[in-house]
Amino acid sequence: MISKKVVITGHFGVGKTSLFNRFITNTFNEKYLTTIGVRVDKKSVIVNGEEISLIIWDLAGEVSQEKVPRSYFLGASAIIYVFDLSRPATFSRLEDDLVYINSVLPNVLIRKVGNKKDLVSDQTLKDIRAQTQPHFFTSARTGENVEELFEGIARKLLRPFSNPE
Amino acid sequence: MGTTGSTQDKILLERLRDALLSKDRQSVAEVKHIVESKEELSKRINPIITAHMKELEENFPAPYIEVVQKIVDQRMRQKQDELINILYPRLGLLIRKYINNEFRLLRERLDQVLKESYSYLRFWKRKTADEIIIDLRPSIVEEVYIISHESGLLLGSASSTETADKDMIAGMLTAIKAFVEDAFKRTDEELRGIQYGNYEIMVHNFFNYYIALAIAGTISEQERDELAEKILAFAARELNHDLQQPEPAFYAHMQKELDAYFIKPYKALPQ
Ligand SMILES: Nc1nc2c(ncn2[C@@H]2O[C@H](COP(=O)(O)OP(=O)(O)OP(=O)(O)O)[C@@H](O)[C@H]2O)c(=O)[nH]1
Ligand SMILES: [Mg+2]
Repeated sequence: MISKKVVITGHFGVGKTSLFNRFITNTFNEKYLTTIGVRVDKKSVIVNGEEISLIIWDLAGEVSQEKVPRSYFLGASAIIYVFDLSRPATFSRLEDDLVYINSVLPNVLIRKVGNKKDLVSDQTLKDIRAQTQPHFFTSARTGENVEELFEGIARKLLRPFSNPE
Repeated sequence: MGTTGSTQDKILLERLRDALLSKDRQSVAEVKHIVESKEELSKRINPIITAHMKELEENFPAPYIEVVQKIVDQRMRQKQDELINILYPRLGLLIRKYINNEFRLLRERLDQVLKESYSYLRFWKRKTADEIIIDLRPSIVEEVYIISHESGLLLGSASSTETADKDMIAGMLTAIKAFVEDAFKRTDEELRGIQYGNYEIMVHNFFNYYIALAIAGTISEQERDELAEKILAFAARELNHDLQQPEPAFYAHMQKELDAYFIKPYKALPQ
């Protein structure tokens, strides 16, 4: 079976660990326990009968991606950049952060994810969609789009050229 | 004039020709000799070829050099990882041998000095501290991992017991390693091991992967040295090729080999 490294990154408190937990153990915790360093876990996903093991690195949040130890990104096949839909400060640096990540990992698969969808109105979602052009709006709390996010990544990593984004 | 006249004419003509062409005929004969005799020919041509070769050697045309260099460069780049993976353990072995040798010399000199200074100490303890430690507690290599440096993905593993998820351990270990190395901003220094309580993880870095041994119990310096040497030997023998995209069969093969190298020989004796 093939294994791929997937990194979850973004500002602190945006729900990276919550998405990680929702995906791996299907649980959610209201309490905020900030991540120190990194947590690594894995889950295998089956796409069209083919199995892939996602080794997921849940990083500690940083206000700027340049503060993340470079080596945490190295060797990653996909990056999930999470921001908090209810806190504009968490996506104000989005473009700069993505440029930086791309400079460390050219051609890496990047997923921009606006999390905590359950906390904002449809109008806010619309505005943020126009501003950030995310791949997904998720809620770790309700579980909305969490499977879709990870399965989409698994599919893309197994068949990089299949369907256009 | 008739026939006689014409014969006479012929003779005359022949003489005239001889007179006029004798020199040329001689040269033709000489040339013919040179061309037909291999020895003569090479005597004349060899110096010319040699001169040309020498000129070529001295002024090898710059554009050719560029082309050749480009080809070599390209090949080297394509094979770089492979080359380094071959060289790394070998270099390690060489350096280790050298250092070990220097140490041995140093120890001998020290022994000599000690003997001279403390010759009155008749009852020099025969057992070294190392040996006492081994006697007390057998150490075991519980687990061994080959892990890709960058991604932290597992390239191979073996263990003496059923353990927690190996992919996770490989990832966490890599993250900790990255964290420590980054935190101390030492690009030329790498994490060599992690110790906690009665447990130790020995880390040996190679070019694009590292080997980690999880050891339970106390391990003497001598054992540590032996293990380090074994790791180098293993890497030189088993990991001397491109490890970017290992085949599924590779993992099974690695497990077998790692088990034979590191797990079986270090099983604790029944107590
Ligand atoms: N309502 C709501 N709350 C969420 C959601 N996701 C996370 N949270 C809450 O947000 C807080 C932070 O979540 P974490 O998952 O710890 O955030 P993080 O990005 O891992 O934070 P750091 O590890 O500090 O970088 C916690 O109190 C979570 O319960 C969500 O989708 N909806
Ligand atoms: Mg976290």
